[in-house]
This record gives sequence, structure tokens and C-alpha cells, in this order.
Amino acid sequence: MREYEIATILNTELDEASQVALTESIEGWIADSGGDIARVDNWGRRKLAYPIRRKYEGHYVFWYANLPPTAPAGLERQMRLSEDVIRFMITRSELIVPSEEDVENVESVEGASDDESVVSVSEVPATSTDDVPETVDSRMSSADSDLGESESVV
Amino acid sequence: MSFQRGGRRRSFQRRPRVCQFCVDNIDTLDYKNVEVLARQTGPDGKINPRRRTGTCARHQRMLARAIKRARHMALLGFDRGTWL
Repeated sequence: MREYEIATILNTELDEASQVALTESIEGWIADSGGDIARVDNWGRRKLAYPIRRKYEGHYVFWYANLPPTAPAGLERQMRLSEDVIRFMITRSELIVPSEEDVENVESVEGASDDESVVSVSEVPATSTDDVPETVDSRMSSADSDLGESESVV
Repeated sequence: MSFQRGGRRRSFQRRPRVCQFCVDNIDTLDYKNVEVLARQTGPDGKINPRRRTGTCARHQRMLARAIKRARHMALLGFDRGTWL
């Protein structure tokens, strides 16, 4: 058994019931392939960075599961056949199960992200709090903007 | 500094000497961490080169992989650098 992260973007045009049915059927595929789900991360509706199949937003759901190494191939086939799975990705994860705080941070970031150049320190997600010291972040972003200016001079 | 000997000189931007990710003791870069990843792309959405950011080879590899995964999941764009 290995730890995998199954990331999906689901169709947002479904009604509530078929939405639930879809996630349940995906969980069914995971279970059928001999996997057990450790954690589900539901981001809900999110705007896509670029349109996929003429859709501008998607419903993001992430599953963290232990799967036998043969399982992802079958899962991928299932998801590719499903019309309502707009995009998916199965990656090995060292059970980097994000904490609840991270998830909340990501959501708060979504709201404030229309002005990306001014990322206030409080919004910096700090993956596992000690990962990204906030002071360093602000220094990095200022360095970036300096470089941008020098580029235009060239 | 930028005007010397009658010509417009290419201004020199000192390269950061140390890898910020090393300084921050980061050993995993998650593709879902759009905040951090977006900062490592230029206004056109390209991944910033190491020569500009000073990122070490190991972290640049991790970064490139994370950014490419984020692009696949439409968390980051392939161009323009706009996210959301």
C-alpha cells in the first residue's frame, strides 16, 4: 500500500444530488481498487486559472488514500470515462496531509486574490507554519518586483 | 548608475546568494500552495530562472514540479501568470 493523493476537478453544473452521487461513486472506485481513504479535502467551487472544456470554474475535491500500487491505472481509466470529472491527477504523497488551518488559509486567500501583488503578511498560507516564515515571504516578493523593474530597463 | 559614458547601461541586479527555500528549511513544496508558487513565476506566468532568484538546484526542481502540477490542476495558468 502506498499513499496517494487523488485530485479532481468536478463539474459545477451538476445539481446537489448528482454532485454527491459523483463523489460517492469516486469513493466507490477508490474502495473497489482496494484503497482506504485517509482524508477528504473539499475546496468547493473555485475559479479555474484557464477554461477547461469551456468551463470557467470547477469543484475541487482531494482524496488522500492508501492504495495498492496497481490501483491508480484503473482509477485513471474510470475518471477519464466520467464526463463530470473535468480534470484529475493522482500523485504519490508522503501523507503530507495538510492541517485544517491550511485549508482555511487557502480559502481566505481565494477571496483576496484579485490583487495578487499585495499579499499582506496575514494571508500568507505558511504551509506548516514553520515552513514559510512570513518575514521571508515579504522580502522575496519585494525582491521580485525589483527584478521586474530592472528587466524593463534592459 | 544606469547612465554612464553616454549610453544607457544595463543595470546590474545582484543575484541573491542564498536559496530562500533553504533558508526557510522547506523540504516539501505542495502544488496546492498557490500563494508560494505564484510568487515564483513572472508576470507572464513563466517559472523564474534560478539565476534571478538564487534558488538552489534541488529546490528549483521541486518548485518546477509543483508549478507544473498546479498548472495541470488549473490552479496556475500556463501564461500571463494570472491566478484567479
